[in-house]
Amino acid sequence: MALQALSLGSEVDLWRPQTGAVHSAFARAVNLRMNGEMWTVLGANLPDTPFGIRLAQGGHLALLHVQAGDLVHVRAGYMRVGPLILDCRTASRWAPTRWPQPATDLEVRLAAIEQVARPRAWTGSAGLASEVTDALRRSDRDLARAVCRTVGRGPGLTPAGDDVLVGILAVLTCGASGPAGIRATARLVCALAPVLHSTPDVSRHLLDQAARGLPGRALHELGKAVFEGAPNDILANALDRVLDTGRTSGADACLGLAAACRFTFLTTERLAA
Amino acid sequence: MSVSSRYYANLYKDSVSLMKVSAQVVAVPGIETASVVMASATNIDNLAAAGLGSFEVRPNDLIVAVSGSEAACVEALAKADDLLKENPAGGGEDSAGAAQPITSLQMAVSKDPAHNFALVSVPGDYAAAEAMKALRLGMDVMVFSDNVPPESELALKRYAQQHNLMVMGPDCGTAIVNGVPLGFANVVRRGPIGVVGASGTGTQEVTVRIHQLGSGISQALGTGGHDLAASIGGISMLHGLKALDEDPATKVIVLVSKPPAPHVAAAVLGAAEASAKPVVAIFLGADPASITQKGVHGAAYLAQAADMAVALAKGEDPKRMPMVVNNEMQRKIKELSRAMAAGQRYVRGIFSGGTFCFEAQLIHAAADIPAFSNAPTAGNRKLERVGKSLENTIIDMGDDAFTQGRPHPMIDPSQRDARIREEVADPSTAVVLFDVVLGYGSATNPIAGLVGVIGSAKAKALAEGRRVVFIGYVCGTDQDPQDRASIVAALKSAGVLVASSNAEAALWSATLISDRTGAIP
Repeated sequence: MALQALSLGSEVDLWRPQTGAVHSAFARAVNLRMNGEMWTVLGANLPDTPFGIRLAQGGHLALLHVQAGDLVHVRAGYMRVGPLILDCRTASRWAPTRWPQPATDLEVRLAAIEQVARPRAWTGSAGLASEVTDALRRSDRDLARAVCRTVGRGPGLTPAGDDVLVGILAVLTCGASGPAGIRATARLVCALAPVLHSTPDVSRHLLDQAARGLPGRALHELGKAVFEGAPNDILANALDRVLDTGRTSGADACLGLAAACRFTFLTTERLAA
Repeated sequence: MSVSSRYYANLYKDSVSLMKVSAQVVAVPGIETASVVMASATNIDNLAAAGLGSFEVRPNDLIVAVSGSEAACVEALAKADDLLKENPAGGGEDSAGAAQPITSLQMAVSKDPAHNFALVSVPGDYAAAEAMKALRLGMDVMVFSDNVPPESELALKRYAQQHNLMVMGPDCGTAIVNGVPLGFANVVRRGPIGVVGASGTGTQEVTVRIHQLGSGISQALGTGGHDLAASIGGISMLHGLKALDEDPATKVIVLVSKPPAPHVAAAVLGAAEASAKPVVAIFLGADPASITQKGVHGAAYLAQAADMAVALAKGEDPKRMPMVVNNEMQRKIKELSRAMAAGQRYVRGIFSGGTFCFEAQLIHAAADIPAFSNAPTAGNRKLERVGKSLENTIIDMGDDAFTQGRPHPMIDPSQRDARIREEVADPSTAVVLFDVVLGYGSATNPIAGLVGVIGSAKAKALAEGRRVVFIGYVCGTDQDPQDRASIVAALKSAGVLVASSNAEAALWSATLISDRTGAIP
């Protein structure tokens, strides 16, 4: 079956010949293992990701009869994924843009996000977000303990604790976080490395990508909207897109994002005050 | 004599298919010349020069031109028509016509991006452009076509090098990729030995011998004959070496070439030394001691390279065993020599494999037997009129001089058979040395005419009081489409001394000629 791709993530190179295999196939996404990276084939109704290939059609990907272990071949703008041929030559390319410095009243927007996200998140996520960001203010040992308690914790294919960390990393790696963000990212990555093996494959790759400043488009656009001080309707739309990710994943990431924003920006504001 | 022709608009056939059709058309009784070619500018000129007519057609058209009796020409064109219609152009994948035939490399990739290899076999004028299309689609390429300009070859190989791809060729006649024989190649067992060869028949000899010794081939990659020239720099051989070094199925690597340009040899041997795997290198004509270095084992002749590779694959010491004629064969050669007439002094080597011709010349030269050749090795003299042998003559009948507008002798050995008949008729001929190459691409029955030629020529010579010795070598395996065992048996029953390698056949010949002339083998 031949399908057209609608858009591609910034990190996907479909012109260099390469081979891989299907890692896992779900109703909404098919994960591919490609040279140590995890690519994802998504329906049109889902947002882009840095390693994503969005199809021009939505619907149930399980109907495409792709199975784990199917071979993947990439060549000259085409992909073969099991029985599917994807023509990606004319697909648009999504690349994240730099977040601006936070506009005033950041705390108000963060509180609004938390208010909507908290009831939809896993019950322990808010606590984990606080624990990790608090630990970022303390010693490396404290941070390692906090991260160890967070990684792989909670329900879901991507455990809630990992989603919280993805939210935190999205803020720390955005250009607006400056040198403090770079230092905090480096410490968090060091704390993460020894325990990454304890979380499922897909989640591990998402954490790895987030640590490289490559969150998904929905989270990226929510962060931008929050920092820009976007109008409420735009903020609400961006939030809805994130919350739509998984059963609790989006909400868990929102809590991580809010906690990291407070750690990175509001502390400085308070100190300055 | 009449000349007839027919053209087919937009009908493409690769050169091997064309040569096969041509071989069957020329076999029609009463046909003197037949040419089945794509209508490239060069081929149009050749047809005109051969008196087969002038044509105003496009390069995508196919021309059949024949000369002979009028009735034969009609029959030959009808035969060509049938043969060309057997497998329609485009090679549609569905005979019912439901599927759209693949007519371009781009279409092949769009149908399945898993396609990662293209074999280009079009007239040389167009080969580089097609090969570049394949490279730009991220495919490795085998260019079977020859007559590709050196600057185009370099451009293709530099592009491939920059994109971690390989160009095998131009003029790459032999490869075995993932167990699939391509071009002229034999059916060999898969196994731990990888080959990178700049010579087609050289690669065939090594792979066949490895199979016969019970081992097998992981990959046999061709580079084309010009790759190790100073201007190209061995780009493909270095890539092939790296690919085999990284291939987990390859335990031992064999490099086959004529002597490269000095700086290219240094680069190739440097890369071989850096390889984590043992490498056997044969640069035909080069002193093996000058090649041997840490992890690199120099071989003197093709069969020896195979022997050493098999020993290394078994974890044994790769001894470079000297090639000798055993006592029984020495006695036999003496006996045959004694039965010859006084004037019989010369070898006539009639080869279809260019590297076999080269190796045979080297072995004769080492026995102080210089020879004329259309493709002379260092120290040998050029045979100016290729149609007539002089003294010791060892010729490559696959050379352009013999194949312009005619099938290669591996595909249609009739020209070789005729030449052998001529050589036996020469009262100075003592030995006729020849090869028979089996495998895909070669004639279905390569000795169909040869046995008869040998029988009648021998009888005629005997009637004139001469005994001519025939020494042959059959390059092939028991799994080739031809039946190697029956071919060897047929040759033996015709009185041919059949050697186990090309080098051995040449050594037997050199021993006999030495006996005739007093040279020391």
